[in-house]
Amino acid sequence: MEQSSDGGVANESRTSATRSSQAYEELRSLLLSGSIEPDTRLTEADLTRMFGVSRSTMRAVLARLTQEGYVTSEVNRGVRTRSFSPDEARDILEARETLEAALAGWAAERATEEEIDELRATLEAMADARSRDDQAAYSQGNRLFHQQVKAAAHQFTLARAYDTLLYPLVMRQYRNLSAHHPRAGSYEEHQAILLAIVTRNPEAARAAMGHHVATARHALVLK
Amino acid sequence: MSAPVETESGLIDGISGRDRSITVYRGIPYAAPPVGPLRWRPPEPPVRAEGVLRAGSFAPMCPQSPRDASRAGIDLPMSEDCLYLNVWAPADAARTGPLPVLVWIYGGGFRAGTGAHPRYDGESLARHGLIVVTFNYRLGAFGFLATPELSAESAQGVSGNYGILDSIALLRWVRDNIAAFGGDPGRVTVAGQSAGAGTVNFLAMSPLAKGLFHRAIAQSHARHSRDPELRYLATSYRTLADAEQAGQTYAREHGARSLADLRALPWQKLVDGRPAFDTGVDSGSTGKPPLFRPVVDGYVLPHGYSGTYTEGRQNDVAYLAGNNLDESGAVPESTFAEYRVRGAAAPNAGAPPIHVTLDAFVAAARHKFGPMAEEFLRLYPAGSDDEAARASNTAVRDNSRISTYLWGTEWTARATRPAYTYFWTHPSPAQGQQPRRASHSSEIEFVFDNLDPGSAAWTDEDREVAATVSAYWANFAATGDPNGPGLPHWPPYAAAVPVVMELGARFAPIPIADPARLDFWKRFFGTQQPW
Repeated sequence: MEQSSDGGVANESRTSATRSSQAYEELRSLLLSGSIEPDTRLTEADLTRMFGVSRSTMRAVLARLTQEGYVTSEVNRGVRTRSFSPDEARDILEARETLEAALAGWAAERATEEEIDELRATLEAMADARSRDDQAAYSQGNRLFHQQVKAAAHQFTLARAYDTLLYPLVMRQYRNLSAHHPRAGSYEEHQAILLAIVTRNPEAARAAMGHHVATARHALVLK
Repeated sequence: MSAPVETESGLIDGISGRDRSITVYRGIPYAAPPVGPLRWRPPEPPVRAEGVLRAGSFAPMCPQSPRDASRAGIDLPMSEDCLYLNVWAPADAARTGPLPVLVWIYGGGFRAGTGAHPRYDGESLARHGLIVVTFNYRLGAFGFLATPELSAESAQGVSGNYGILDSIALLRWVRDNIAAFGGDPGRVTVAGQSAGAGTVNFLAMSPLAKGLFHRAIAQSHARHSRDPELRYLATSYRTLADAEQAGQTYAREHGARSLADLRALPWQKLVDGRPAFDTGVDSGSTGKPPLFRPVVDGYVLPHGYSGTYTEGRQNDVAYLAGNNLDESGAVPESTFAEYRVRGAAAPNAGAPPIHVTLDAFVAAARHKFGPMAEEFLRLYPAGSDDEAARASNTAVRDNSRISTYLWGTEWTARATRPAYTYFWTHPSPAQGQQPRRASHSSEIEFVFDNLDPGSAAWTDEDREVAATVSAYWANFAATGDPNGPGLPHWPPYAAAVPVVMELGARFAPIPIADPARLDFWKRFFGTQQPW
């Protein structure tokens, strides 16, 4: 019935730059959530209404998302949600392999004790989720683990490059829905990555992460 | 791990909770997907799943504004195929049961929310010996559109209450299936907050829900039918004629000339970032209700609040209701300066105005109270911005407590079962609130005894408050009385004794308000139109 007191009140008085970046974040999470099928046409009018922003604000948001590859924008076809060809998907996942392996290597050199404790806690939560067959909780732990490795690398340029990869969209499009989840070996692969970081062995960390991401790629249906 | 449970939706296999003594079932369909020709139809029975349904993942949330969805901060897609429920049950309940059932109805202005939100995780409450059920209901235009064409195709000639009918279908599913989980279909409590509490109230007023639940908990919604504050809220309902007219305008604005056109639109075209206001409602303030809200249609809801209570037509259930310290326009004293910097906010659907300057406070009082404004300003005096902000807080809080107290006189006049009222005062750090505050919805984590270390910096004191409050809720669900061993006594509502149970800073009955102020509000409500 009424909004929380930290809700609407604060949002209305913001500047247009804030509104634009807010709409950007919201549209980006909508695209990442998988709510809209690949290759769905989105009109500017629909998006303007959906996000409660002006046309010029939405145009700026769409230009940014087009440039980043979240949507495609073509003359006479309007704006569409991204649909990846198998070649494009493979290309993105190979880049992810290289970047994440490098990040894991830096994490083995630079992770703080606190960051290692956090990784350990995440892995414990993943073990617990696996033993209960709680796939949703396992996936959540999995995503968190990769984010934590990225942060523990303390390598801003690589992290930024990693963030621009569109692999979450690729994973959604090509996930094998009939396969058992989590994939056999997934947990042990995370364990190997953590062990390499704990023992401060960058080479082993790169190898473990590279192997893990490659195996995940092979499990997708990239026909 | 428990064996698969047999239900009308199929055989359901749950998973162990983080606490192995609890089994969790996520994403069980309780109705057919309301898509295609079933958009804007009362929910149809679920399609029985083939084989065993592994209930390990939450279902998508119902379509809603992406801003609301991203605020929820959970990684779930939206889909029109969203009518699913979740169950948390003690793993041995099917053997030891039957246990009382608590059905949670989320808030969000009838335009946002999901039963999958981590705030509503039922695992901890289930440890109190309850079966906890959460679910999704249709929102916004999907849940509450009315048009003459929709009314014409319905057997009862009505439209606009699909979101409420979803809750009723869920309760029928619970009646018919919850025993298989170890639940007692004869001890069902509906509990909700905000618009969810509004739904609780509407369910109590609907003959279609009669007998489907036995106790009701309304968190931040139980107001006297003549309190004008009621009218800016999503729970202020509409007449069928008004709703149909607004629906026609809405359809036209979305380029639809017929119902077939409307049903052919992809759902993305029916999600509005800025919820439409109902400008036709005078609430005595700048607050306006959202357009999409329930309808007094003569079928799902035969009468409004006043018409229902005066004739004693409500479902006779035990009732627990209350409000919070920092809601409905009251804010923590330490935030006055911040609100002054922000300036007056544009009117926002369902949101109350906040007055932190002398000018705004006095102007709002004159507008709202008219000939009674001078008396109001004598009772709540202020000579500076700071005094005005404090006086406004005091008035808002008095209004909340008095309104619920007077609702109690209406509700209990013809009811035979007891009512319990509360005023929540414990400041919460949830949702990253700085400073802590007892804001709208702040009681939720405590009621669920769900102080997840990942969600906020909870203290031992928070944990003690959560233990007490969740015990009251669990007792009420089990017996219709929140009292139990080791808990401070919570006296049942009595119109002759103007007190309310404080929950939070203390656990004890406190006076509703200073007698002169109580008398003022009673007389003011007397001048207002009943809703």
